[in-house]
Amino acid sequence: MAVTVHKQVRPPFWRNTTVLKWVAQLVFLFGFIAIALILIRQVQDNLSDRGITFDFDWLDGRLGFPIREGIDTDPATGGRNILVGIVNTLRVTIFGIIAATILGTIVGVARLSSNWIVQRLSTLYVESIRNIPLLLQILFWGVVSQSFFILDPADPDTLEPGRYLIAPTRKGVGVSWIQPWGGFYQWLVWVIIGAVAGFFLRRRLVRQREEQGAETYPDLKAFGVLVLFGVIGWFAHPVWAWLGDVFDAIGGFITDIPTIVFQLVFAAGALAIGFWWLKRFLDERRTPSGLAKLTDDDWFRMIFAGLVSILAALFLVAVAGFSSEVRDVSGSFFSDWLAPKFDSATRVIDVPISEIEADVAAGMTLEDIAIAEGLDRDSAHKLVDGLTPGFVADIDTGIENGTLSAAQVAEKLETIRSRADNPLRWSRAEVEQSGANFLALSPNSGVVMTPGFFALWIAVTLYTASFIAEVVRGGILAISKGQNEAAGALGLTRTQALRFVVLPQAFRIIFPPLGNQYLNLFKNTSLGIAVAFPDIVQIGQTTYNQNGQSIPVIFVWMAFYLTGSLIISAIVNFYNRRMKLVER
Amino acid sequence: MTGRIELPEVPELELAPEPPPHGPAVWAKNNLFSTWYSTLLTIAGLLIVWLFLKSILGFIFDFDARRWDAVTFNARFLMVQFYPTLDRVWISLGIVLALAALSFAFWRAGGYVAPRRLTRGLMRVGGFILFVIIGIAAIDYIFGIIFGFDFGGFSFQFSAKVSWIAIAVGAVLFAIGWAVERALGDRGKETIISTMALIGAAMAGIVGLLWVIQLPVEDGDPNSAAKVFEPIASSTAGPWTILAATGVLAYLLGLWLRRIIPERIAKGVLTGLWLLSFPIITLGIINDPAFSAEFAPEFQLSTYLVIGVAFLVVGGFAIAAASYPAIGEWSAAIAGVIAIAVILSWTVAMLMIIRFLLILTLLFVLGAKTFGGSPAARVRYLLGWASFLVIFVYFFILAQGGSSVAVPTESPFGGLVLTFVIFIAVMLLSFPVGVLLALGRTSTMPIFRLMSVAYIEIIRAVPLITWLFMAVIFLPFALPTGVTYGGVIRVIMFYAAFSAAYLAENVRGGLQAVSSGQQEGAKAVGMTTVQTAIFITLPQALRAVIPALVGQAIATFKDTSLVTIVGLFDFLHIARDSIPGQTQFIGSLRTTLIVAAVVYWIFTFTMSRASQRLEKKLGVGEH
Repeated sequence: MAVTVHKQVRPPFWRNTTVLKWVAQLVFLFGFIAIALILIRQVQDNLSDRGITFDFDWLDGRLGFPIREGIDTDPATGGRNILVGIVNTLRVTIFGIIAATILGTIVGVARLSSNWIVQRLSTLYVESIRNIPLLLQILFWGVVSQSFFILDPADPDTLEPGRYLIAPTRKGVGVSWIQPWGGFYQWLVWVIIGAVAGFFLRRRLVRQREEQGAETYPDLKAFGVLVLFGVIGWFAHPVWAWLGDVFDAIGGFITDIPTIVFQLVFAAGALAIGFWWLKRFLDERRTPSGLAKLTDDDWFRMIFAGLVSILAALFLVAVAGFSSEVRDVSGSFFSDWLAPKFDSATRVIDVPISEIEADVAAGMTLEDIAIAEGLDRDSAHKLVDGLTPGFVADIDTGIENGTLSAAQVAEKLETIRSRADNPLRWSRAEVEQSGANFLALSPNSGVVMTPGFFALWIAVTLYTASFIAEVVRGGILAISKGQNEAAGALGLTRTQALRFVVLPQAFRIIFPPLGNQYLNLFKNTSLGIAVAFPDIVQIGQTTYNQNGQSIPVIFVWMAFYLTGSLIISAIVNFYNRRMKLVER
Repeated sequence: MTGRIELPEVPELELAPEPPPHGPAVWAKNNLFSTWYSTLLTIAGLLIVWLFLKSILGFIFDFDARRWDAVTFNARFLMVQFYPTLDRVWISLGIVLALAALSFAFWRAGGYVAPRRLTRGLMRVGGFILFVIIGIAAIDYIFGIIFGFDFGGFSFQFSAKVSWIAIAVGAVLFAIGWAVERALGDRGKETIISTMALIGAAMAGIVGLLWVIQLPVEDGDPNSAAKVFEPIASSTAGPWTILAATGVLAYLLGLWLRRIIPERIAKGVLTGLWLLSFPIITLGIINDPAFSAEFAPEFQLSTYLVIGVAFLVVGGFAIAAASYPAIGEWSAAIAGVIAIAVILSWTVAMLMIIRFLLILTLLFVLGAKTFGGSPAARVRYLLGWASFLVIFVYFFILAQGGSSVAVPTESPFGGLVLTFVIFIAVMLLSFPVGVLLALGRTSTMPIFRLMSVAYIEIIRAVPLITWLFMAVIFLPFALPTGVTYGGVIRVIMFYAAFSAAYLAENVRGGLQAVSSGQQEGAKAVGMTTVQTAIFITLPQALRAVIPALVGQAIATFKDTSLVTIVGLFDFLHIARDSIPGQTQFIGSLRTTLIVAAVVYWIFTFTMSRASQRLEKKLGVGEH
């Protein structure tokens, strides 16, 4: 029987699907790049026609508009304003996530309750809230909060200026709260050490419990260690003052490195990533009998990846601006931001009594003396501000009436100094006069819940909780009935079965969609603009309304939300991997 | 033997004895008071219900503070703002309603229900009203004795007419339900009432109510509150009557046509009509040349017609030629020539329609091999090309004649109509883009995959409001000088791009659910990649994700409210800004917001219920 041998003929290149696919992709890519370039050109032309230059200088320039929410806008630069917005967004996100998780879990379990009325009520809640636009809900709570915070609608400003435990005004409710104070960062070092020690202790105790079968109370003891370190740190925190110098030195060292070093390191990093990818790619194609035959497609991929990493490296070497910016920012992070936090010099008043005598004779107030004796205005204000008003007023009247001697004033200053070094302080809500007829809450006292925050937080919480409830319900329903029945057969009550058998298993199913809901909540906080909540979007809008730099502001928004979303999904993925059922 | 298989007689199985009927007391014990904490929960739940109802009813019936007239006097404003004159809106609604009625008739939607469900429903509603009023009165009385004060909100008053009317309505509904159920007896359990007849009766009832409405009557106050619903009733009674009649007639017509027209053709025509209805309504009916005269420069109808005919003939030949199997490699050559023509057309000054028609021709030539293999398929393909071309030229002529969708930034176009226009346009535009992105993301081609992933992830990571701001403040910079788009168009463009990324993720879920054996099978019978995607993978993938797509449609609908922040006058904007800004209705914000919430809720809840039913019908998630 004759055997015809078909000689394998490679098709001509215009019929080789691999080549065609790559040609199509490259044509598409270059077309895309061309359109993008044309658009960028167009934007540049249009901008220059209107006399707007595209830059980020406004981040450092002064841009003052009052923001009465969150951290203070000092120095009033564009960048600081954006930072205030970021902090506000994160605050709503974090409090929203906590509240929505708790409420959502409760409602989700309640939807499966055997109690008819509880089940119906939770169903009503879910079906009504999740079918109404969030923006509308935020607006609604915005209206409600206008009247909610005022105890007596006829006379909204019933409070006198001063300090209160809880201060309801029409600008929001101030609640006295604990705030970080002078020695906070030094104390934090102790707390971190305690947390690390507690973590290792707990791990050891857990292992011990598993090996010996006897209860070793790992959580309790680990928490005890943390508290112990916290207490020790409360008194011993100045020990870490030298860290300030270290950070200063590190910052100085980074700033002194020539830019070219950074450029080379980054370029090497880009090349290393490309190399790592190629190595992994080839490893995947390695079989016990050696490297598998590479297809045309594989070759194209490897060439493309290599080109991208080489281009990135060349770009990083050629353009010095990126590297020098990274260097300056990281250097100033250490020397300008971190180092002063450990430096106690700004908080210590150590002056001879003769100088204080002169000040007292001149009839200066306590705050003025503190400033005169070497404190900067800001720290002095915060120092006096952090004390009970009566204490300061007594001293001030004492100086004025001449009943306090210089030695006594020095003693009081010493008290202030020691208190100023505490890691935390009890900050009382303060109502202050703002304008002729208006009262406002001092932004640095206690915690302030403004109507905008309240409206956004409660709306976002209720809305997300209705989705989380569905996620939780789905997760519980996905656990097979047999698990519940087996738990019942073992003698567990319904609550115990839920707590120890169903929920831990349901959590695995619940977690990925739950992470999605957290992501949605994070993005939904941007709707706070409807109730004038100064989050990053609202502040960005005010910024470009003032200086016309709309495109850089859009870049800032996108950078922030991209980073935030990536961080949240990275956390979710991390937990997801850890909790995945280990399959045998 | 007639082809039927005779089954052996199966003896009737002895069923387990029915459980003894439960009385309400047993039900309450099992469902409300089974354990001590269940009892506690029941009491707490009842208290919540009581407070909730008191405040809700108090809100509804507090006429002085609630300003329902702010809504009823502005009903037209809420629906359409100023722009499309009402007759145009009514005609559009009529088209949609007639098409819906025809579709119901052709797809045999509806079915039959048992009368017992209706009577039970009546008894339930009546009983609920009685229970609420009497329950509130009772709990108020008990609380008054114990605590000696009232919680505010609604409370039962012997002097108020509302309380007595409510009790009377509840009692009458309950009594009707009970009496009819008793009269029907066992027949009440059979499914004999047609759903469509029920819907028709309900429509007739509502329309009839519009003619007689004088609601509500409250304590003899002759002022605005007394005739709160009259403005709506008097202005809409006529149009609604005509619309309802149109719907019923269209349904009957559909029933008749179904008998004389082959089903396949009828359904195809109907689907086409549905697809056409959106552009016809927006460009043809709602489009008012008076508003867009400035957009129509020297425009010559004859030029467009000549161009259209030329393309019909020449393009038709090219497509027919490209679809012959015998032509082989030369079809690629035809496509190449047209591709070069496309590229050249954008470098030379010429009418826009030629450029777009060239692109359309290129697409059809490229698809010729895929869709026009056999002679019958070729004829269908050419017919498709012709109809596409006609529609395309028609829309181009409409758009050149001035389109109200491309109205200037300060759009006179608004209200609920704008909300729906944005919603439908976004859904229609985002669907093809989303499917392409999903295919790109699951493709084996790395650059396409990478670009799809980058697009999807970047779009999804940033909130919608940021993209809308971009549409409003960034897009004008990116457009060539002299080209401007109206705010509505810009927002729709960015919103559709945003929605497409989410849609792509949903479709991707479906694509991953299609087993790889399907693709291998398609390859084995010699299908190309495009054929596999269109005929094998996508139909299965889309079917699997229909519930997810409906979920996304709901989200899209809710999020249309965001356009109010960038200054478009959609439904929410009028409810939260325009009406409370009118001098006579200052302070009516809460009322209008709640009405807006109810309107949104009705649409989204209907959609979510429909999706749940669809899910059950498709058996998605059941293995």
